[in-house]
Amino acid sequence: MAKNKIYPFAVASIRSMENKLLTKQKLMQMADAKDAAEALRILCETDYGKTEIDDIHDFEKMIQNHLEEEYQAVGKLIPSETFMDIFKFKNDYHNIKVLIKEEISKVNGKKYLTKGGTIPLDVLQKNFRDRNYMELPNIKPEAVQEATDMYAKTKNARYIDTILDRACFQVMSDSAHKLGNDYVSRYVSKLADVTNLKTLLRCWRLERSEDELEESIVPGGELPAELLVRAFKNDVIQVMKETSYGTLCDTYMPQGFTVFEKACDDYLMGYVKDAKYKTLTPEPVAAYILAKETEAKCVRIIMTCKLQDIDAETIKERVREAYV
Amino acid sequence: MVESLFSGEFLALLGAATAALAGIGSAIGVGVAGEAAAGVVSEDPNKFGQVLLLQALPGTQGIYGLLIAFIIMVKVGLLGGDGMLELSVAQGASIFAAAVPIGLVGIFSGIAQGKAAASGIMLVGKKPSELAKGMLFAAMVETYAVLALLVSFLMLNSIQL
Repeated sequence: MAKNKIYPFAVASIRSMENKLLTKQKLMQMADAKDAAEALRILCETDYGKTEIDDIHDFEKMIQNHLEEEYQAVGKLIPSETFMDIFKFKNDYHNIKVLIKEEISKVNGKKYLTKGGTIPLDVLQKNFRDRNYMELPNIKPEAVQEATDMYAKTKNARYIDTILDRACFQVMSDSAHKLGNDYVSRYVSKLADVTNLKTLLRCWRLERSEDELEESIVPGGELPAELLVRAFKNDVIQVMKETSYGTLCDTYMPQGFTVFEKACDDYLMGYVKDAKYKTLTPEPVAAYILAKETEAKCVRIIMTCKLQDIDAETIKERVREAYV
Repeated sequence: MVESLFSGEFLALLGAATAALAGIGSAIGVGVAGEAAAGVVSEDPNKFGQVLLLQALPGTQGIYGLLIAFIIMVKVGLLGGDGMLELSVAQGASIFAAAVPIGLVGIFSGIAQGKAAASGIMLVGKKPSELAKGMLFAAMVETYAVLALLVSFLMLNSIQL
């Protein structure tokens, strides 16, 4: 027992908090609402309702405040900082992308910045402007440099995204290794694989060039880049069938991108759900964060669809598997 | 020196001490369950009563250990006021052997029960109506502590001084 650190307090708190996660029924109820206002009313009855908004289009603010609150609540439960950080890096890198694009386009990107990164927004903005990377521990200076250089050379904003995505996955994967938790490492690796599979399908469907695929492949996954490129050059589904993602690719890839993307999220959720049967180790804590993020994604999908007057059936098809 | 170490009296006392070691298991078990209980109460203070019940479950091993230690001490006359009986090495060694089951089983079953109780507490955190089931799962571990207690007790009873 002394070998594996145990966190009874954290896990017990998480178990109680899980009761407050939105269930699939609640999400379906939102999808069935007659308009966006009613869906928002249902959402306001939950914990998301703590933030009051005047305009229905500001629902993103509700989601962000709620997520930020949850990140903090969960962060307090686990003493090791790296544990939470792994899930927050993506927000940091998102913000960096926004800041780079802001610099280039001279358009104020404030509304695109997201909370919930490892670095507070004001610190990030100030130090990024001065290129003071000492204060930005998990941002790779060479990635930022490369991204700006590539943009200057090609005037193609795609490079900013792909280069920073690669850096982000590298940081996540490195931190996961350092943390040494098997569950988290495998999640990060699966996430990278699934991201690559989505990129592969997209490039294949849109008949993009091989170079473009290679540039977009993120590190940290099990599937080697060569295999993905080989699949791209031959028949994607035939080649991917042989990998550990065989069923996923074989069943859902032919059904189109929206279906495949949902299947990928559900696949990850299936993995995350393993933590339900762990009691003293920190897995359920990680699972809770991921469950919250998926929930936020579902709420975004539903609200956006409702605002666009998409019918309930289509929304229900797109809503992801819930953790509880 | 060596003779005094392996005298009957010393071995009998070592037996009483071994039995009392069962408390280690209980301490760890109650500790783990207590952390989990605090986690649940931090989210919902109303569940205090329910989780307290579960937290107390791994505490029994320590009590069993204490019981056997007492019986040994009474048997050798340590608590009677008339001074300790003179014991042969064989008698002392038998008493020591009788104390080993509850001492060892107490430690490990206490830890195991603590984990089961912690899981039960998490169950209550998620589904408050399932308290009885959570208790039952943790109480299953108790069987083996009771069996060890029984073995220790029967052995002690049959030792003639």
